[in-house]
Order: sequence, then C-alpha cells, then structure tokens
Amino acid sequence: MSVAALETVGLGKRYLRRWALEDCTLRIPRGHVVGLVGPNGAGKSTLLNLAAGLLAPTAGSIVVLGEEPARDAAQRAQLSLTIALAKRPELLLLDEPVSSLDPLARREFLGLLMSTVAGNDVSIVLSSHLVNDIERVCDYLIVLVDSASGWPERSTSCWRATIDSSALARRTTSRRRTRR
Amino acid sequence: MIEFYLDAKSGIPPYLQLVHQVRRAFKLGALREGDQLPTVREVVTRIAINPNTVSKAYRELEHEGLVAARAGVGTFVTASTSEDVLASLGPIRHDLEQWLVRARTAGFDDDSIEALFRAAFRNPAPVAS
Repeated sequence: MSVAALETVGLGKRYLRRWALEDCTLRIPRGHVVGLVGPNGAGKSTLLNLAAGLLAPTAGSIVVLGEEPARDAAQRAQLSLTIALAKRPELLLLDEPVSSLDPLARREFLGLLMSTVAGNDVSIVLSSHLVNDIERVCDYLIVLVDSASGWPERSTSCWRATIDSSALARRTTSRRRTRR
Repeated sequence: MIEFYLDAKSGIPPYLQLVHQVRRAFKLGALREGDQLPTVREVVTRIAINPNTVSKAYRELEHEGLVAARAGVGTFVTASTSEDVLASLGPIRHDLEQWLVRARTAGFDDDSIEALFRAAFRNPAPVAS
C-alpha cells in the first residue's frame, strides 16, 4: 500500500472537557481531491489543524505523507499561511507571524506572503515587536505607543511611513506627538 | 535573468538598490536589449519585499528609458549598449584586475584602493598624446 496523503487512527482532540474530534480513523490515498463536509463544530477545522501540525492530538495518531505533521515553527507558519490563503481572504490579520522564525524562515514566509499580495486584492495587517522584521514588506507602518499607560488619547500615536526605510528613519527621529 | 538582492545595512532605500542593480547589470553587459526582468511576483517571493517597492523601481527604470513594460507579458530591457563598448569591456576589466593585484601587492588595503580610484576618477591625469 502506498503512502497515504493523510492517515489517522483513533484521532481525537479535546478542549477542556469538550471533544472537538473523537475516534477519527480514516485513510486518504494520494492524488485525490477530498472534501471534508459536516456542520459547524463537527471537527473539520480541528482535523485540518491537526494535519497542519497547528494542534497536537489528545488521542490517537495522525500521519501526513508518511510523517508526523510538521512541528517546527517555520513549517507550521508556512502551513497555516497556506491554509489561510486557500480561503482567498480579502483581509488577513497576522499576529506576530514571524517572531518565532529564524531569519531564513522569516524571509521565506514573508516571500510567500508578498507573492500573494502581488496581483491580488488582499489587505494584510500584521504585527511585530521589531520594526526591522516587517518594515520592508509593508506599505505603511503604524506605531502604537503607550497603550498600557491608560491614556487612550496617547495610545494611538500613529503615523504613516513610506516603504522607503530612510524616510522611516527620518520620521522616527523627527517624531512628535500631536496630542498630549 | 538578473537576481536581485538587498543589503539591509546599506541605508539605501530598497527600490533604489533594485534600480542600481539593473543599471549596473546593463552597464556590464549582463543585461542586454530584449532581456526580461523578473516579474514583480518573482522578485517579492525571492527577496521578501513589498510589491510596490518593485513596481516603483521598475517605473523609475522605465522613466529612464532603460526598460519598458509590455502589458500582460513583463518588463523588458529596451536600451542598447554599443557593441564596441561591450567588446572592450573584457580587456578593460582585465587591466583593472591586474592593477588591483599590483595595488594589493604594494600593500594597499581596500579603503586605500577605493580612495585612490576615486581621487584619480575625479582628477584624472592628463593623457599623454
């Protein structure tokens, strides 16, 4: 028997006391288009997330293309982005998508992201605690300052920055809060 | 096809780095009339920059008359270099490389060599005829 695209045995995932997926055994041969159908809460997304390595199973086992699903940060990031993009979103919200990645994986991830932006009408808002990590892929940077200080009027010190890094540096040094 | 790279530490805006690389490749004969530049998507996938940065660089090169975009096909080099210039490129480069060897053998470091080249470039000695 050839290696299956996806194979699970007694696979289960529990959140607290609720089982999102239970005792799931299936074998999907390679080279087919397979639909997962079922009502909300049936476990479709949980199964896909388990296959993508985004979730760890509570019970049973899952094998993707003959291997345990990817567990390292770079592969997980790549896979979750691929899954998100498959839905052809108009807006992608990414929270610190590259912070756990090494420089090479970061570049590959952002390259994949930018190849999606090129020629497609998709908007992306992504966060990063390091400007350098995402600066060159962004049209604009919004900098949030002092949100924890309890001064809502100061919490949105934002400004537009061009993708030109020297302009960004200029803006950073000449930065002034408009409202205080 | 030209392969772009970015030097994050140079302080030069990314779009300008791309412009410089195309200009340089053209001057050195690595890009010739009719050659295609990589598509925006290819560039951003490879070096992970914003697509608008690449578009800006390509527009700048178009404005200079170095390249032209053909809708739906791609961006192509439209300027031409004289065959004479291209033919003498090899020998001139060879001379320069030999000169570099001599300078290094004489104990000049990279900074000194660059300073020397710039000085000579700005104030060339009169050519004896």
